Amino acid sequence: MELGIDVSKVDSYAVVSVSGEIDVYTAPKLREKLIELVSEGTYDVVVDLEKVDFLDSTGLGVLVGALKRVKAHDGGLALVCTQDKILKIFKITGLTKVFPIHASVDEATSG
Amino acid sequence: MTEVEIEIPSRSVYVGVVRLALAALARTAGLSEESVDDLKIAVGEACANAVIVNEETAPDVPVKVHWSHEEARVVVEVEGAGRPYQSTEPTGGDGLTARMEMSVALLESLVDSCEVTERPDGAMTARLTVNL
Repeated sequence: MELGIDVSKVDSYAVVSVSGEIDVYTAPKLREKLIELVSEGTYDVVVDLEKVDFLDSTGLGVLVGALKRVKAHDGGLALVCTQDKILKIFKITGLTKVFPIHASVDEATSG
Repeated sequence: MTEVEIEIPSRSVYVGVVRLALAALARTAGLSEESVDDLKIAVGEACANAVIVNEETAPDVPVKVHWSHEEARVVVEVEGAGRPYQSTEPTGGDGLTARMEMSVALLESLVDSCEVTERPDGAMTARLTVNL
């Protein structure tokens, strides 16, 4: 149940690749990383969820919080996700209307 | 009828243990992989909610998860000891209230029924039913 977080730079974007389970226990680690990026001045963030096996409401809350933080600096937060079981969670909670969701990191960083 | 009971300390690190156990039980009961995933999320939400309120008001009381499988349905009851979560922030935020709202949306969508009942002592039980 470990959460892996790997940050890389693609042009002006910070690409945060997450692996494992984002849940009530692990989500604070992702929250800290996203807050750290914003405090360093990174306001264009892509969170890659392709290697995430599980996502719960606490994880969703962390992503919504990060979106608000980057938006406050005129930035954006996009997601990369093609897994049906993860997309379903965004659909049920109405967040597909809140986050741009892309099929690949290339697609997310080409805008 | 098959029944299994699991008790975890009221700490978020143990919620994943319940999800794993329940997923294994659901597969044993013959649920499809999609239904196993749905139940895993729903039970994870109910358990996390119980842990969050227990941590606030009854940290030493465990969260109990009761699984029962009959021919036509699976029922999972998640019992916390904490008082129901009281919202102290406006809706649409990114704090605990927003999290709870998303949690309720997931619970209501992913199982056939989700009833939350308050016991006489004020603690809550979430009862999730999946029809087979």
